[in-house]
Amino acid sequence: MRGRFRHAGHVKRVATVFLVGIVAFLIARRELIPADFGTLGFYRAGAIDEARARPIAYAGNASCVDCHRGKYENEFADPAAPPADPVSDNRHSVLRCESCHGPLALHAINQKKRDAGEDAPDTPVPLVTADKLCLGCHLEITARPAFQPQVRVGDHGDTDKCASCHRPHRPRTDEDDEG
Amino acid sequence: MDQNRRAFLKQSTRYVLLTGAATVAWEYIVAGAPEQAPNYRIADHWWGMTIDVDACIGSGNCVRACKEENNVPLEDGYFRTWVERYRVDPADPEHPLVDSPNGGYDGFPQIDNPGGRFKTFFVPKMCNHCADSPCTQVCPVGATFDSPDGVVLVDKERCVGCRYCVQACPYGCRFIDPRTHTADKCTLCYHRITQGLTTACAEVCPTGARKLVDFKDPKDPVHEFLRTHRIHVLKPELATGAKVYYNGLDGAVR
Ligand code: SF4
Ligand code: SF4
Repeated sequence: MRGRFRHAGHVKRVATVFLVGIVAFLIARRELIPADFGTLGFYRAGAIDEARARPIAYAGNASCVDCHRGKYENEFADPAAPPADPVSDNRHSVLRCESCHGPLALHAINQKKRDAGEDAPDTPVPLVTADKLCLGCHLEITARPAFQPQVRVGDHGDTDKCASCHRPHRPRTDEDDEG
Repeated sequence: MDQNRRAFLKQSTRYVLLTGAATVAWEYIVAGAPEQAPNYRIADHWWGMTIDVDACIGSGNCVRACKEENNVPLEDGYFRTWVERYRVDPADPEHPLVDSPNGGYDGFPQIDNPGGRFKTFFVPKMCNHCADSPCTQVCPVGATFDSPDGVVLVDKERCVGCRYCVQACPYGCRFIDPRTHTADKCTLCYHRITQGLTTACAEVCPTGARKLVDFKDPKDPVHEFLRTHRIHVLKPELATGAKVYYNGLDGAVR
């Protein structure tokens, strides 16, 4: 009988070591793994919120039209026969404002703040007349599809600036003749 | 469970408070589209993209806007989206000439096409937000994952920069951000699309070649588009469940 538990002391010591190990592991695991890890899958659920919570650079066309609708109609539509969509009456109608004017979320946010009497810097919309910008889409290069109007620099319009003949919002020069 | 939820909610609130700028942006930016509800319901969306190869004019607008919107390093080699140009010899379609100088950021130079002998076109590329993404499967620490609305995201706080995912992506869509030494890639502008905006690349695309789509929205024109066009995804043989659908994709594109 006694012989059987002669070595119980050893067993207890080993068991204690294991127990301490297991508890230490559980505590470490609890500390290291974020509380929201695994609630939705093998990842930290809070990472989804973090991915959403970032500032925006491009405001989106809806936001531009919200304030500049009047300007739009003057620039883009035929005043005699206003189209249902204020931007449809032009060759550049498919372009969004920020395609050429660049990111404008700051402009929109600051302007709204200023309108509300808050303190915010003036961030005007840059006027866009740079030839480089026009040529980004209209320079003749290999692989540019045939439907896209393209020019070879030098063959077209001498060295004048694009905007000296083409109004950026209504670039078609034949438009006036067509009536 | 309850404990977890509370912690999760607490954390969510913290981020909302922390990011006042984004909240303000949302308020004003979406002001022009009142139909956009402020409460984003993650279960109601399944995001993807369509790219019309025939419509792409290689302007590089998307590449520049993406870097601007997402604070991507401006050096060559770091892209969340880029544009490739293909020049295919019809007699040897297996070996196209492909160039993408600085990802198309500065546009494309003229290259030879004597007598119009070659077939040429542009192909915009980006993360395909694969439904069965190889990249998320290899991450040892759960730092990259498929969100419930079908967007593949990276948790920069957890990422240990081991590069497994960079190697696992068969499309070369990931890189290690040299500033944080963590993995980075297209988020499908998650901060925009969950607030009623389209992606930056789709916003500035002059021809509408790129379109953000929501497959769970029955009114999304994507359903009609997929029905009426010849559609292909990149490397379908790998069964990644790619969700960027190309119209007019040539067999020479890899
Ligand atoms: S394209 Fe690459 S990075 Fe994007 S989800 Fe698929 S495997 Fe992952
Ligand atoms: S680099 Fe980061 S995200 Fe990619 S597998 Fe390693 S830990 Fe995961």
